[in-house]
Amino acid sequence: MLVLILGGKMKKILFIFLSTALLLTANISKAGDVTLFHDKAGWQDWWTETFAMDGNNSYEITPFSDTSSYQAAVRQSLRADPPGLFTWWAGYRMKEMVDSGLVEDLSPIWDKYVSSGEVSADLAKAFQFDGKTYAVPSLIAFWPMYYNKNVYKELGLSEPKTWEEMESNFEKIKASGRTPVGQTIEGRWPAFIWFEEFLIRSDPDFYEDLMEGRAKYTDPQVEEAFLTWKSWMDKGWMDDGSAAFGFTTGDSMNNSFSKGDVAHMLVGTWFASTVTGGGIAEGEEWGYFIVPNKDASMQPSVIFEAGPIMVAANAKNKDAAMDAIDFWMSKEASAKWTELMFFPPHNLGAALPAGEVGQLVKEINDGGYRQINRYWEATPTEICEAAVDEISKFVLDPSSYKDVMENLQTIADNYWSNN
Amino acid sequence: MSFLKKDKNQAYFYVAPAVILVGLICIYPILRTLVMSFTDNDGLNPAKFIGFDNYVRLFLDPNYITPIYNTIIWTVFATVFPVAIGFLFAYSMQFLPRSNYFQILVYLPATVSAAAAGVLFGFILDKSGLINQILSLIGYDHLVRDWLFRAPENTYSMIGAYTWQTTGINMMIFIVGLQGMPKEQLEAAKIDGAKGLTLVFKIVIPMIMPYFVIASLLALINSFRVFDQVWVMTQGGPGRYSEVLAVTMYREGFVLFDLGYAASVAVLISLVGLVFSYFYLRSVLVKEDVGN
Repeated sequence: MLVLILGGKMKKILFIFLSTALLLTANISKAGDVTLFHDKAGWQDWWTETFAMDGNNSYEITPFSDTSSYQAAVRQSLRADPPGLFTWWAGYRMKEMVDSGLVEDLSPIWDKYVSSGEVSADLAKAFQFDGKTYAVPSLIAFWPMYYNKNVYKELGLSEPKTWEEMESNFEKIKASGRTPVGQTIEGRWPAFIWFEEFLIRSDPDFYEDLMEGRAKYTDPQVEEAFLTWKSWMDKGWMDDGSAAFGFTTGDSMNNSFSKGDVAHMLVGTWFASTVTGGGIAEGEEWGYFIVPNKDASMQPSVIFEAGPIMVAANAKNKDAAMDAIDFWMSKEASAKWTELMFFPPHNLGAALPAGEVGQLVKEINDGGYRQINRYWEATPTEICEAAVDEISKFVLDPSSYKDVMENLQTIADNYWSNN
Repeated sequence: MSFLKKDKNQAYFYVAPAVILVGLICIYPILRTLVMSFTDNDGLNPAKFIGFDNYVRLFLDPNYITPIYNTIIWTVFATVFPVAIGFLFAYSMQFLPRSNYFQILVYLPATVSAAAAGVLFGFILDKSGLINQILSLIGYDHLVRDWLFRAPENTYSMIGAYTWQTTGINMMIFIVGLQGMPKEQLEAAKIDGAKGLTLVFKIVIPMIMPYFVIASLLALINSFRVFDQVWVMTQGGPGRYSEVLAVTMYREGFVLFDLGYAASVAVLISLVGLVFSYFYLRSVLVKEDVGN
């Protein structure tokens, strides 16, 4: 709150005070050429271990435990005394910084790795504006369907290859007294998960047009998505969205999944350790499949999410920061990061992570999957933040889909008419 | 040092640290917020002066109807319940032996942080939480519901949690008031036949009315700017159905980084709080004058 109401000098004093306090309490800093700010406090050791492999630079890595204060601190610092490197959110969530010229163009580094065949050019899509790439990935995640293999085994089901097979599985799971698909709108943001999934399963081109304001929320494709969603809820294939997201105890979607009360849930691959933490074994008791397209002849596709690391244009140590980005894109850094985090590697030379994630990435790479940017990053933040509340209203009352579509279009119109 | 030899100058010296602190961490940010509310500050680009645009937007935006409505609901019920129940407890305690223990029990929730209380009630009000378990146990299954997921139940549930936490403070205010009440007038009323509710409504409450005014205004100020409980329990959702103005301010400021607009919401909340505070301070100061 204080950051909101303080003035320029006061903000700087507060910022220095907070940063100093964090450095002292976290006991993680060493004098270095490259500073890195990030908001994933739990990853601190992994950042340190990976960057320790860089022989050219030393690092001062500062974690922030609260996302809002992190965002405020980074935004305030970008014109004054920014860190060399900082993590952020992809797509439209980084566009403001790009438009304001506050982050460095990293295209030359991408060109180097893409031309040598070490990195896929597709990966850069989430960080590209006007043909230039402004970030490298710290996190890569795909959004497959998690399914409970114990339930599948008990009911004699097999992994669905088509939309019809998947719906047939849902019917049998429902008949067994379970909920086929878990969904949640806890914390607002998860409301977009099934909205985007239903859209891309019918018409991924339309989805991308909708994200960019070239299509409307009142178009028939959106209505079809809502109607499919509604029919699933009406049939009792999905729960009411009221369960919490991921706690392993209590009334949460993940806990219901691990007990087999809920047979599927659609979440990013970063959720894997939480699922296993719920008490069921990866591979043996739970696995992944990618939701099939409604039309089997369409190119297979999957939602992906990328978390960026950016270089501040006004950083004092910009050259060292650019060198650090070069190191980050290397096979060595990518292999270490994957080994520690189990994320899909950004460098194709690095080994895939073990287990289900590795198999999924192999399937995506070998199967020619179209990788589609997640709603949260693919559409302007102003639309997305308001849209998740509207979509939540649909989950609360599926019969309201027409009003929701109108409201979504009003939100989109307000944004696109001014931008 | 001759400057400090004069009594008047010494007084300035003693007051200076407090004045500097209040100026620095209270007055200055308030003025900065006021200035910010007339700009398009986004925390990233240089802010431009846009006049009253943020305020016009605030009053024309239909999205604000629900937060304003919810804030009114909060202001009314989160004032009435804690004050009324606080008085009820304070009055009843007079007749209880070893009432100190009960006072501690009722006051204890006030020592818990609002965020911690929010987390606690998040579990209690959960679909499989304590409230629903009790309702099932006593045969009221038809009342079992997801208290934080449906509107308006979520707003009233949160007000319930807030009441649990703030009743103790009001009880303490009323205990002080009741202890300071002249016993002669009370005895005289009893001799004249006043008892039960007549005694409470016609004699006791009028006699401690200044304490009612103080407790009510304090509760009004706090409930109008409530944030922690709502943010922790529902984040104003689902679908913004439980959002209050302070949550709106936070969303605009720290989710969308429309800091100028968030500042205008902050100014609105502060202005209303200022009006309540004026009456509150006037009541307190008048009471102190009477005491002197």
